[in-house]
This record gives sequence, C-alpha cells and structure tokens, in this order.
Amino acid sequence: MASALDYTLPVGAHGTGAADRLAPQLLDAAPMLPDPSERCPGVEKHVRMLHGTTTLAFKYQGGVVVAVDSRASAGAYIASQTVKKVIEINPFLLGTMAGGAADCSYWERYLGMRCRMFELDQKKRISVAAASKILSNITHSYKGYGLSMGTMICGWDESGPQIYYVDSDGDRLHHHLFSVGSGSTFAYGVLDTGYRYDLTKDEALALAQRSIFAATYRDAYSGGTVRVYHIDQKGWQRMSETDSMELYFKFRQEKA
Amino acid sequence: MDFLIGFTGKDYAIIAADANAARSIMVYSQQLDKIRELDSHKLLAVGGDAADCIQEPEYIQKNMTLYAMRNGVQLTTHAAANYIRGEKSYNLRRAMSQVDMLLVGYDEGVGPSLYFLDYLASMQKLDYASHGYGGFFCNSLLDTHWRADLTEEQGLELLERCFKEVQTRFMISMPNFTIKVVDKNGVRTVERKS
Repeated sequence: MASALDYTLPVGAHGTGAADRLAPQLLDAAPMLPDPSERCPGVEKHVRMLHGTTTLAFKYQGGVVVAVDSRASAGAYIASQTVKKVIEINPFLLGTMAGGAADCSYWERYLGMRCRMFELDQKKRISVAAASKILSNITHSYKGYGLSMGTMICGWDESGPQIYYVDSDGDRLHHHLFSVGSGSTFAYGVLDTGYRYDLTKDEALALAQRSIFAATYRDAYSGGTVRVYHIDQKGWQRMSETDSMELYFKFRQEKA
Repeated sequence: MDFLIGFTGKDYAIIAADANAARSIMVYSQQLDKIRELDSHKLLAVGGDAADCIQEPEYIQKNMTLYAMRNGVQLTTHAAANYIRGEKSYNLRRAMSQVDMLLVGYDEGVGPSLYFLDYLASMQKLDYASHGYGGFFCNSLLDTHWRADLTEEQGLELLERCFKEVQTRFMISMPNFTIKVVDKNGVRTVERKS
C-alpha cells in the first residue's frame, strides 16, 4: 500500500520545464551568505575625488569656528584648487566635506531639505543634534555600500554652539574640537597646542587659519585656499578666504 | 579597542568602560560615555564598531521602553538579556552588528545580575566579565580578588586596581573611565576620585 512517506515524484511528471533543468544547480550550490563587512566588493578601486582634505571645527567662548582647505585630488592628480568644502545647509548650519565630494554634497543637500521640512513641520529651527542624527542614520543605513564621507555638522541652536562629527561608517560624535581628513593630524598638532576655550574671536579665527595652513604645508593632498567661517547666535558668517601660498610668505616673514 | 568590565557585588552590580572614541590611529574624544541606561534599573555597556555602538543599543532601549509602555511592566534583567541575545542572533547572518556588551541590572527578589553578550550573539550569566584587550590584564585580577559579598567601596577599589593595571601594561592609552552602579535605588554614575 502506498504511503505518503515513500512518495516520490516520477521523473518527467512535471514535463521538461525550466524548473527541472535548474534543480541540480540549485542543489549543488553552496548557501550564499552575505558578508556584512563587504557588501560592495571592489569599491576601493573606483576613482574617488577629494580623498585628501583638511577640515576643522571647534567651539570656543564666542561660538564655533570652521576652517577648511580647498584642494580636490584624485590620486596624485590635483583635480581642483577651488573647491568649496563648507556646505551651507541653512543660515544656522554648516557641514564640512571630506572623503567623496559627491557623497558629501549630495547627502548634505538632502540634509538641508530635511532640515527645512522640519522647520515647516515644527515651526522652529532643528537642533544640531537632530540634524546630525538624520545624517548619521542615513550613513548607517548605507554602511558597507561604499559611501565615503567624514563631516562635521556645526551650528547654533537653542542649546548654544554645537559640533557633531558624522562619518560614512555611521559614527556620530559630540565634542568641542574636531579635525577631519588626511591632513587632520597636522592640523590637530597646531590646534591642540594653541586651543583654549577663552580665546578671543580674532585669536580663534587666526588659530583655525594657522592650523589649516600647517596641514596644507605638510599634507600633499591639502592645499589651495584656506577658508574660515564663524558661527554665533546670529548664524554663520564667512570670515576669510586666503591663498595658502600667501599665508606661507606671511608666516615665514613673521618667523624671521 | 574598547575595554568593558563589570561584576556583581553584595547588593549592587557595577560596570565600567574606557572613554576613548578612536578611529584608526587617532583619538577623537576621551569623554565618551559607553554605558547606556536602558531603564531605571538596567545598564548596558557597549564596545566594538563605533557606529553600531550607537545604533544597536538605541534600538534595544527604544524597544524596551515601547514594551514597558504597551504592557505596563518593565523587562527583568534576565528577560532583557534574552531579548538582546535574540535580536543579535536574528541579525547575525543578515545585518550583523559588531557590538560586544555587558548588561547589568537589579531586580526585586533576584538582586543584582550581570550578563555577558558578544557580537556573535552568545550570552552568559556571569559574576564578573570583561570585553576587549583590557580583559587580558584584568581577568586574573578578578579571578583572584572578586568575592560575592564585595561592598561597594571594595568593588570600586577592585575596579581602580584593574584600571591601574591597564594603564601600566596596556599599550593603548586609557586615561579616563566611566563607572556606573545599579542597586535597589536604580542606576547612577560614580565619579572617580583622583
């Protein structure tokens, strides 16, 4: 007597459909498990603009100072000396750009849209904490897909001056002093030694400019123009844009 | 490179974590709090991938709060450990997060407890545990000096011994540590006397 347990499908009972021809392949194939650390293999081989950069931002008694260089490089080639690495998200929020230029400008533009949506919705300005969290949620959701960005979201909100570091790994840090990019170690050197919370505005701006210059001098991937921004309760202001060569001669003269 | 350490004592549990936020060769901050307060009587210390250390505990905490609001009761520490272990296990071969954890809590009728969870979703209830390279230097100290009836003062003293050993023998600089305690009155941060 036939039992349900020893039921086998006679060969060809289904006809000779495509499904039958696939079966051995399906059986032989090892299970494909995604490697979460490598969702986009080979991504490191692509050309990446703006991989070398120096950016910095710090809080002090008078607000926030943001300073950046302006060089874009693709390998050993200098692609541009006039890049705007400070992204003006809205009158109270600035984002800095390091890593992939397209990733940074695209997602920070999108962040600007989300911040405006928040304003229309809630009838108040978004906090820097919330804005940076939107960005870090995005970068975390694309983790492993090859995004490349290291950015500082700086601004002034109800709780005062704020700086958040957000990167393409999905990391988000709150601190009073950051420097990001290939030249950041050089910038930190000058910045850490010269930094005090009670710096005057002029001292703070000079220190930021000096730190970025120090990085453009030592880091081959940083250079061009040193741009300095300042943020206080009235929003951000562009303070200076100086060619790094001009700064070189100025500082050399001061040393002599 | 994170260092987490924790143990239970007489009527409390204590955990500590280093305060470094580092990336490749650089330290971004030495004031990072890696111990999240999940609810009034639970603490979760996290270490591993920096980004996942923000996202995963936040997800867990929000879901535990949601559970408490829906059901009118909070998860016990044992239940929370099993919930977290379940989430980690479910996600292990989907979107794995590389986060090691220590969970401590205090429950009425149970007392203090400590759970060790690693990024591969293993879970173990232990009296004392650590994560990271710091464990190489401190586990022997805990093996030698830990007792079930340690008072809070003795517990803090033992922690300080561990910190001292890490600061003398470990290559990576860890100048600051966060210490948090949970007992019947809830969670609190302990300031280190220096």
